[in-house]
This record gives sequence, structure tokens and C-alpha cells, in this order.
Amino acid sequence: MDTGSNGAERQWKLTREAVEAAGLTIGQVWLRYFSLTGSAGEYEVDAYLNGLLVLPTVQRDLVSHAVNELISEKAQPLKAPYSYNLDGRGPSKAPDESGDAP
Amino acid sequence: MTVDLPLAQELAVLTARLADLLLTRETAADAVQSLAQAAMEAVPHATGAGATLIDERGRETSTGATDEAVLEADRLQYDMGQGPCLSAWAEERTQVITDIATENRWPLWTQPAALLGLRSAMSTPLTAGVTTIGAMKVYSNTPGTFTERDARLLEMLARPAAVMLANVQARDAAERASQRMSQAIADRDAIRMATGIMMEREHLDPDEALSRIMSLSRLEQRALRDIAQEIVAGRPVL
Repeated sequence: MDTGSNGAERQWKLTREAVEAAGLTIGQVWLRYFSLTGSAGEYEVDAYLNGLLVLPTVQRDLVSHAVNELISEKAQPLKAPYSYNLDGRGPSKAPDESGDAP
Repeated sequence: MTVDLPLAQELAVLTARLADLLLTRETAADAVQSLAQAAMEAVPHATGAGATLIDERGRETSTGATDEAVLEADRLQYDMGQGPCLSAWAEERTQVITDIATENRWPLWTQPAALLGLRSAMSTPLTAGVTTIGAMKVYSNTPGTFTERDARLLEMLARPAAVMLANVQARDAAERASQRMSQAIADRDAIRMATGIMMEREHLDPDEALSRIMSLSRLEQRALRDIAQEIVAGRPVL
């Protein structure tokens, strides 16, 4: 069920918007896409997201899937801690290594 | 301008201590933390110190600080996009603030930084070879703390520190890249295997099988990798 060139165009454009809005790099997207068995190289994925290359349907969906996974891992809004686990580490301030000073 | 340079001996001791601190550190994050500590010990009257690795787009990648105020002052710089460390990094020269209260460069940064109790500051670039990889700085809670001699001392410390830090950073980056890559290959294998199982069970072609697994992942809102691992482990598929 190929949606035709219009559908493909909408897909890469919206995917690129999502990539930009989430502040993801092509490197991050490609690595995840590769881990999901994507077969295009990093330059090809970059070209696809710039509308310079049309990827086959499954490959396009894999790019979208990679982007979506990265976004849902990223979007972890800060939550408030309860009194009983304040002495432990609790939810950290930054999602990645902030390197709390000893 | 005559500068009373520290004794060669004193510097040698400091450099040896730096080498000891930095070369044994596993990660760039640990190394900048050690460097912050070393800078505070080396510069007289410093009440806080920090070291930051900055990528080629001017974003901080790792920060070490002796206390919370230094950490916060640092964070402010990158949020505001201005401050002595960013200038030290961009202009590749030492920046000295005699009194934050009267300083008129970096207005967006000086106001909130003053609220943190910082009064004077000094920041010098960390330059390894031809690339500036970050900045190290010292702060004091009184104005006019740092002398020309202190600035030279910080600069002389920064040179060996930058070279050592670049080494740790390269090692760290290579290690992390290869960890990520081997994880990616492991996931890829699992997903390929799951796709094969799906093809066999459901009489699908490779693309259909993969699309089916992708739909499952979306439906259950779980990572494709996890779904694939379950299929490989024998989970019955709808």
C-alpha cells in the first residue's frame, strides 16, 4: 500500500520536523535506525530527511520508528519526589550524566 | 608589565599532580571533576573552581565543579549563551572579571551569577594542539581577588591539563561509541531473528514481517528491540 510520491513527501517532511523539534542529530537517528535493521547508510538517511532521496517504504517506516523511539525515551518530564525517597537518589535533575559533585 | 611567575618547581609539582589526577580517570566527566579540584587548590584565594568541555558548536559536554554555585553559574552561561567561559573558549584567551557587580560584559550572565554569591572570576581556554576543547575557571566570593600572576598560573596549568583531558576525552568517546555500536548490532541481530521467525510463522515476506513487528511495538508502546527479544524467546505472536 504505497501512498505514492505525495505520501512519501509528507512522510519525510513531517519526520524531519519531528527530528528538529526533538533536537535529535542525524547520527542519533541513524544509529537507532541501524539497530532496527535499517539498511541505508547515514548519508542516505540524511539525504532522505532532506528530500534528496526516496527510501523504500519499510526503510522510511524504520526511520520514523527510530525517531519515535528516541523521542519517547527523551520526553521524560521532571516529576516531583515524595518525602520517603528524598534521601535516596530520587529522580535526577538531568536525564543524562550531570556528574553530581561528590 | 612584570609578572612574578611561579617557580618552575611549583609548576612541575602541580603538573605532576594533574597528570596523576587526569590520566587515571576513566571518563571525561571524572577528569573535569578532578581538574576543577586541582584548579581550586592551585590558585590562591579561589573559593570555587570548575572545568568544562565544550563541543565545536559551543555546547557543554561535561562539567566538573567544586560546588553547586559554580555548577549553576556554568549552567547559566550555556543557557544564556554568554559568559566568561564561552568567551574564553571562543576568543581563545583568558577572561578576568574583577567584580561581577560592576562588570558590563555578559550582562545576561553577570546578574544571576552575582546572586549566587560570586564576585570575581577568571576563565582560561583549554587548548590541546590547535583545538580549544573547553575552559577552566576559578571564582571567588570577594571582588578583585585574582592578580595577573594568578591568571598566568591558571594559563600554565591549562596547557598540560588540556592535552591530558583531550586524551581522556578521545578514549572515553571511542569507548562509548563502540559500546553503542555493539549494542546496536546486538539489537539488529535480535530484530532480524524475530523477523525470520515471523516470516516462517505467518508466511510473510521480509518487509511484511518487519512491518508487523513494528506495528506490535507501536501498539504496545514498547521498544521494537524488546518486542523482538520476546518473539525470539518464544512469545506467541498475535
